[in-house]
Amino acid sequence: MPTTGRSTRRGDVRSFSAVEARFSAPIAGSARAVRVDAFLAVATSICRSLASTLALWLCASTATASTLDVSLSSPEAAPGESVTYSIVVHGGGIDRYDVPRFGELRASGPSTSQSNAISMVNGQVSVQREVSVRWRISAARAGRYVIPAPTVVSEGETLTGPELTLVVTGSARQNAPSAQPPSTGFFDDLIDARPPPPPQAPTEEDVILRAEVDTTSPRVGQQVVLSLYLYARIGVTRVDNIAFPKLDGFWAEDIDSPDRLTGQPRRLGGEEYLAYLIRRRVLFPLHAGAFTIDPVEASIRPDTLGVWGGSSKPLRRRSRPVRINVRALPEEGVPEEFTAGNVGQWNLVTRTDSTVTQVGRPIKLTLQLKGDGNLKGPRLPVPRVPDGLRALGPTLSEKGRFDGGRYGGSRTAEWLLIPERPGRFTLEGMRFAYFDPERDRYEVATTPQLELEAVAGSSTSGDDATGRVTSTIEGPRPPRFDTPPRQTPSLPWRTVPFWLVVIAPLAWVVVAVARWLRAALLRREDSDARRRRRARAEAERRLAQAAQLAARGERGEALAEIARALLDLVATRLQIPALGLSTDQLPARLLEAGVPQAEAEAAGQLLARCESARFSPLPPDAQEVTALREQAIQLIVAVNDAASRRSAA
Amino acid sequence: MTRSGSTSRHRSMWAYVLMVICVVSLGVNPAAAQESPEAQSARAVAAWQAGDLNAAADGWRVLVSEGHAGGDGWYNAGAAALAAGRRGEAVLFLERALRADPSDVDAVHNLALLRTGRLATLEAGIETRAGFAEKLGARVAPTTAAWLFAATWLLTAVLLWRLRRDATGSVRLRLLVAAALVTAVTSLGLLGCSVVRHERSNEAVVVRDDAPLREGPSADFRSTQALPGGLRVRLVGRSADHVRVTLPDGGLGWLAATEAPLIGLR
Repeated sequence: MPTTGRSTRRGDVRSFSAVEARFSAPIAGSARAVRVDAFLAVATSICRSLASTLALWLCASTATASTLDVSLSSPEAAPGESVTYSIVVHGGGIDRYDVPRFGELRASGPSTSQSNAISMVNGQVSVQREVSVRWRISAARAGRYVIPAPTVVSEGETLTGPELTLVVTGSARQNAPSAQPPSTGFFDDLIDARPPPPPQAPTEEDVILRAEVDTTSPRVGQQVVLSLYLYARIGVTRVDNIAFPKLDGFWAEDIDSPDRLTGQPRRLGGEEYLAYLIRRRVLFPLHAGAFTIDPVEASIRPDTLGVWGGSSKPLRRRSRPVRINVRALPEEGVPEEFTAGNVGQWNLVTRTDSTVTQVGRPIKLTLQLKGDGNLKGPRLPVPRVPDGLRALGPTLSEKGRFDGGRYGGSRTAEWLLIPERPGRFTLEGMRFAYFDPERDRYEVATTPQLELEAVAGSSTSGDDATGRVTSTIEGPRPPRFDTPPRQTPSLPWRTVPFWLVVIAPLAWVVVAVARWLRAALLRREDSDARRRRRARAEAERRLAQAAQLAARGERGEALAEIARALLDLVATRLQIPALGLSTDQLPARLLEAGVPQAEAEAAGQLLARCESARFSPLPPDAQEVTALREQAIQLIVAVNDAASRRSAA
Repeated sequence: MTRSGSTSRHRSMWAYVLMVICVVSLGVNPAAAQESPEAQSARAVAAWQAGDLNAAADGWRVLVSEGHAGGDGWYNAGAAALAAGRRGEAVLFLERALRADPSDVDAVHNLALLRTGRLATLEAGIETRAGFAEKLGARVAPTTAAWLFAATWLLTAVLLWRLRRDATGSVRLRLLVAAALVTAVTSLGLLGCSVVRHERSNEAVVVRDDAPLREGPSADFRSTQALPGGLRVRLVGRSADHVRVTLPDGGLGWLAATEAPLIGLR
């Protein structure tokens, strides 16, 4: 496979070729080799195409000449209305530019963006690159405003645009459509590797934190929606470290904390902003008086990816305090049933799951308060249960919602009414008195009275013969009489049979292990004794041989046998490689092996004497050989004893 | 001869003392002396059928307190207490019935009826706060857990013995041994959970309605709140005749020991 030299990514192509050569050689000729070859051919082709495209793109991007466009989104505007002033460089990047002199015009920005469009027509690749810088400008009063010609340096070339004029006429227009350009794309900014344009720090007016309430003079218990908004004329990525003040004097419900910032265009002080809802709480004043909601603080992180030239310092903003004057509830016309906290717009409904049941079978009575207001505040009325009916409960539940700028929901209480005798029962209607802040007066919600009937009998629940629906809820289940009383059973693990069952296998395991250990010990003992016997027999054999040699007059050979008998025994019984040791080293090793010092030294001397006698020009006499043999026998006994002691240890 | 006479006198004296003790103990507890558990139970059943719920509840309470809670003892005491309107006692006895047999649907049903209103609100989320071992232990009867372990343990031992004797080295036998061992270990874990549930659990029930929760371990301390009967609490300390308890919402306080008996019988 030849290596192409055109691409600037030649190394990549070479490495593919190397991979191909390495893989194709050992498996050539097989079906698998064909598949691998095909894969490598496709991969190499893709790699070449990419390399070619990259090369063409780089060539094209550097070859195109840069042009400069300068524009206003509208040549005319009303006082306070924003228009966009854009500097766009086509076919190149921006090395640097001079910030336009806007004079009396008020400007915010800039925001930068970059786009690259690659097209391929008839094999010709062309790249359209565009870098733009935009400001939003506005004028406080009518007049003609001249914006001098901007100067931009692109690809080392200085470009100068035209001078533009903004005509501001007439009075301020409300709700004018925003001329804000599309926001900067994240990836465009990542692609832009050129130095960013000169940064411009945001002013206090560019980012404003505002706490807003829907009413500043509520009644006690009336809901007040507190919304925290961020008004921004620059891009904002995050708001954090929101420090809400203590809301003493209010019961607060946190109802809206958006996870993502979503801006809505709004005007503030004649300026256009994007308003982001940061947090929303519903407050319920607990008592009358003048209250001040202290400022809320938050950290705002501006859009650093291109808008503010890399400035990542968060902005700390503080809202203005909000003053609320809470009015007391009117003292006139207070209903008898009214309790503090019953403020809002409420409806009261009751229902039962059936109207006919059997004695002992309960009916579920549900009382629901629905409407707008503090769900924790109202005290629900309690049904007056007639004699013969027993009430269990209530079970309370709440379901809150925020809808149409109002907080509310439902609060439900459920009772189980158990008839204790047959008959008809009348549950009186319930009354709930509350103060309606919208109408600014007290109201009373009532429920109709309920008629219940309990019949005797033991039929199961469901439709009875008359078609009336009986209760589907079971009452308490009675005691069971069918088993005679028995002793309270002990917990199983406190009983003897349980532990017998658990311990029996353990005992078997212990016995088995003990038997195995004993057998192993016996085996070990046997092998030790065998080795001892064999070593002793061998030593005795050699000593006997030495005696015979001495008797025949071969005294040198006899001494060699004596020495060998001792050394063999030491090697076998004490596992000391005695044959490889010198006569000086042996005593120390014997001492280590537990042979007493006297015997160890004697063994060394014995071996030295045997050696010197064997190689002396004068042959040893018979008495000396006999003495040495006797000494060897004593030493063999000592070595055996030492070996036995060692085994026992 | 003299020694023999002295020994005889001593024996007579001990017999006399024993007789006196028996008579005195029978006199102290005449009901036990006079009525068998069967008769007590029959009396409670009769009271129930006659509509005397208090007498029935009392009858079964005495029966279980005298150690005759086997069979349906705990459940009957709980059901009768529920009918008599003694919420705390009912919860305690029904909980004990459930500990003995977690599959007792009647006890579950009656407990569900009892745990309404304020009790339900106060105990909200109490189940989720129990430990894993307690939760698992609550699902299995202690008898089942114990004998399941014993059986699998025994089976494992027998199979191991067979394996030791088996000279052929059967693969099937080895697999059986492994399976039995895994089952035994699993059931040992289950048994451990059951032991934790029954021996280590410090869960108690407030048996008296409006039991005062105090700031300290005596009646001289201020009462911070009145607890409803049937509320489950955890004992975390003891001082003389008071116990320190944790409420389901994490609150701490002291209750008289008699007002919060442990559910588990240690």
